[in-house]
Amino acid sequence: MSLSLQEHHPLPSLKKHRFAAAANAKTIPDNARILVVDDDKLYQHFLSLTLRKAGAKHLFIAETGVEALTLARLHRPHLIILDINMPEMDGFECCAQLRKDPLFLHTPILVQTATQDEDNRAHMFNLGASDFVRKPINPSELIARSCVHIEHTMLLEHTQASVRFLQKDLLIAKEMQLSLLPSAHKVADLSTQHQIAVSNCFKNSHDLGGDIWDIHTIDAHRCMLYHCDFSAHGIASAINIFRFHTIMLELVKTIQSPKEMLEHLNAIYFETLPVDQFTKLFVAVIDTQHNTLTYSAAGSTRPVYTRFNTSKSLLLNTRSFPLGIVADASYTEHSVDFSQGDSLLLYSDALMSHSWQRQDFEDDNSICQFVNYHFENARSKNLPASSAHTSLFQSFQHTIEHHEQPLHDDVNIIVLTRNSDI
Amino acid sequence: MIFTQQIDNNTLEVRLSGQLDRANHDELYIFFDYIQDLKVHTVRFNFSQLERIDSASLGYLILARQELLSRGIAAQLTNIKGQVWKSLNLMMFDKLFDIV
Repeated sequence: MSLSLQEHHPLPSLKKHRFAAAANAKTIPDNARILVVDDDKLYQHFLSLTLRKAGAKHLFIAETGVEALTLARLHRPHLIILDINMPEMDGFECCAQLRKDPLFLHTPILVQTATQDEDNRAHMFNLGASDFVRKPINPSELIARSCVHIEHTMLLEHTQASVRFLQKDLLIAKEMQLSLLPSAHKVADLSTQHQIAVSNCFKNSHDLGGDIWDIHTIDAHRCMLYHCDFSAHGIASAINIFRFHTIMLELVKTIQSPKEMLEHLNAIYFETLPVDQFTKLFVAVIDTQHNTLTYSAAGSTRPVYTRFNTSKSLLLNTRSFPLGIVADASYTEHSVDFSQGDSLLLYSDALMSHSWQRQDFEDDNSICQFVNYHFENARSKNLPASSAHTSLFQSFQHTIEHHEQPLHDDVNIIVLTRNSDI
Repeated sequence: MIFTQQIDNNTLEVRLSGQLDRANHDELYIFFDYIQDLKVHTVRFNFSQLERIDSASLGYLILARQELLSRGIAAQLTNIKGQVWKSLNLMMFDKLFDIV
């Protein structure tokens, strides 16, 4: 139904409001894009003039709901000022259509209406209207409301852009983190050289955690393994991981004692890292000539050590200060037998704190029992240690890789078994 | 979740409950800001309702300890149990804090 302008929403006097609004009035940001939807030429003119006087530089006028949808998609306005009574598609339908489009889910829609009917207003809110401005329109009120909504939209845009920027950076950092892990080729070479089976499953946290591990050949009979977990997340974690990796590449050339390694690193980190970004680290040297595993830990999770000939799995002692908290912290070096068939499992603490779809690990004892089950099972069937190694690793891998929810921390599993069958 | 309660003029008890992880880091940050102006002799962290704590939250705790000690305020931990105790024990927190 076509309404008489004069009867239902008379134009306010622009002259009357021109200077009254000027004193403390807000101004519309230069880069704001506003879409005015109104079939009434006179009102189009009034709204344009009012908005331009308040600073609007990018105004788009649609005369119908259909045209409004087209212009909105073309110009992505920061604010839509919408009339209700229009031919073809009225304001109700236009509002509903706009909200169906994900592009305009959060775009403020300021509805101009002469109605006093509260049910009608409630209906408009239900359809997605953000706010109302009553006809006859008071220019000061229109500008004030427009400015508030435009500011919110611009703030949201800015936040969304920042989030997108951070997400992109995090994605790159995650890929870089993965690139620091030992390659399959490196692990295969080392396995062959030292006759040690090494299997790894690593999954990043959704916001970048602080886990990293590596394995290096020291000489013909020895290799060094480490697993590190920084407490921080995000960008700080990425920087810490890269610094750690670089330091370790040099240190493994000169320090072959896990205890010395930790004490050296602790001195560096106490000086350079804030205390809340401490590091948990496990370092081990495997000597295949003397059949030993020598390790030191800095507050790391307790690795599961399994003797295949007895199928006895136990948790290694790792009680110690993490790196970077205490100046001159000293670390203990432990040594255990590590003969053919013996195995070591290293894992992130997220294995216990995360709720897995397939199987939960309440604490380190339950992980130890899980390892023990696989080795006991292989031994009872006269299967080699390599069989236990494979079944254990595949169980973890299946649990982690088939988990669909985002992880709150990196999860890293390393299974290492001395194996003459390789 | 973090609640604080003044026990007496000298001690502030900070009760931590549920799971302390990334979801609560804002709270920890606010708490850290709050302790900057504290005028007590002791801050006691009560872990009786705490089920889990992640490494980053432990980092905040160490930072809080450092801040408190620098102003002569004792930092205590109490009622540590279960998985939380295991985590703290592994990292020798008993050597960093008074456990009461």
